[in-house]
Amino acid sequence: MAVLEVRRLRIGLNRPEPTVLVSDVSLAIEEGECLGLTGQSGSGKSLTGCALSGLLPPPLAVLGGEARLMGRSLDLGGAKAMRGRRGREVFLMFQSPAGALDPSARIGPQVAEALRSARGLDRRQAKEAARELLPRVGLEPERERAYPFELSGGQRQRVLLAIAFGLRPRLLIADEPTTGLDQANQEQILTLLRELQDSQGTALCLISHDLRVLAAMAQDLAVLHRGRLVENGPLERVLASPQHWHTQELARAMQYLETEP
Amino acid sequence: MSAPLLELREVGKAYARSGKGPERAVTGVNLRIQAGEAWGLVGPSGAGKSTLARLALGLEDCDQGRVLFQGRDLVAMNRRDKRRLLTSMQMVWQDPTVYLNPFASALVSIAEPLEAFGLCSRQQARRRAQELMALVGLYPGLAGRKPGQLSGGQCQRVALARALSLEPSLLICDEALVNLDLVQQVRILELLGRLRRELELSLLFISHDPTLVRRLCTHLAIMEQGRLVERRALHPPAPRPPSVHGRE
Repeated sequence: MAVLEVRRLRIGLNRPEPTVLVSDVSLAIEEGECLGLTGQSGSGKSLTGCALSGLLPPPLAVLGGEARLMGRSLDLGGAKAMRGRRGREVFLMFQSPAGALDPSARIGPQVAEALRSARGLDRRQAKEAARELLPRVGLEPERERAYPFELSGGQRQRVLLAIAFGLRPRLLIADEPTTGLDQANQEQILTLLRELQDSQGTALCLISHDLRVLAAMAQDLAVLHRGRLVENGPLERVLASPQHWHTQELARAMQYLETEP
Repeated sequence: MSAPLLELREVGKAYARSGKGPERAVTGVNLRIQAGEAWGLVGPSGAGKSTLARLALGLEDCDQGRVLFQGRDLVAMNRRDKRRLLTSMQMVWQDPTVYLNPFASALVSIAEPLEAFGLCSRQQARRRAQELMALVGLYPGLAGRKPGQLSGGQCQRVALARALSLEPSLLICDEALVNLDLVQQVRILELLGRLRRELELSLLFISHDPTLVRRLCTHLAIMEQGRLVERRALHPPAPRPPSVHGRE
């Protein structure tokens, strides 16, 4: 069964005048599978990710279309409408984990708080669970006392992953989770994402401009260009016979990097 | 053999930390870049790559060892000589939107170094800037645009043209492609490869992406925890013994 089904999603502004930024995007992701979503800067990748977790910053809004998560209709009307389902059902990992964490709270309590509010654990259970989750994602236990600013970018992404492991979401949307990280950190984050897929059957929507990351992770590839879906299908097929010129350039860029000079 | 373009001898740098002892960012680095070589410097975050670039440029003085550019000691040099020398060594940083003047048009940004160093008149500098725009693949219509009106890739090309305006013999790129999408990364990579051949430009290309380095560079240096742990030629037609590079 498809974990996520999106039909004709439209995102844009209602005021000052109606402006459509993403139009007619239809996607589906099966359990445990990974869909790669790519496109140039400004193509609408992040908007799509935010919309599906109800976190579009106003005045941006979903203007049309529908989405179903685990067969149940998703109300994409905004942060409030999605509150009950965000976290355990759909989990968004932002590009900048610094912005997703509370800068004034230590890591341990922050992870525990997420488990408490989304899974209804009591204070003690949550604290213990948080303590077990940090080593799960490769953070030393004593890091629970650190503040986000004391951690590197890769470590902050791991904190978000620790929360994801604790919540076991059906769908994880990861927006450029490896951008700006060094090679070793990139690989470790991708491995953790794979483990989450394999152990929990989490469906993954991986947003990245780096086609190499998607080629390593995704079964399906969707390419956005100026807010429109120009390609959507099995990754190997899309890369072998790209239809849109932008996808052709992407495939060429990847080939360029892979050939010996 | 003539003096290397850039030579680092046992270079080290420590930074003071409040409440703790000094932290060594770079320790005992030896590196020689000969004219025409393109060195890729890779390593994890915090390895000291950017600090090394700043030391090589003389933006900061090392507290151990020596930095020699065309055989001349950067630390011992007076400010005027150092300033003149910096025209031969230029830098492209990670985020051009931060260091390009947000109120200056592309053309003005590119022409500025030529004027600042008094190398030509304003009019000549502007004309040269137009040529440089063509060289880095910026079409003339963008000349009047300010950084906020340009894409990330276009900004990076402006920064590159600005760095090239002084006709440097060594270009240091510090994660210059990191904020660009893959298509842009490859375009700029191809551009750097072409410039390297056409302008006989030597490169120190800092990146955490070994694939980019392998595609562009002739040599690879790996840095970990402030030290160079490996130095070698890449895809060489005839491999040279490792003792040739860098070691005294």
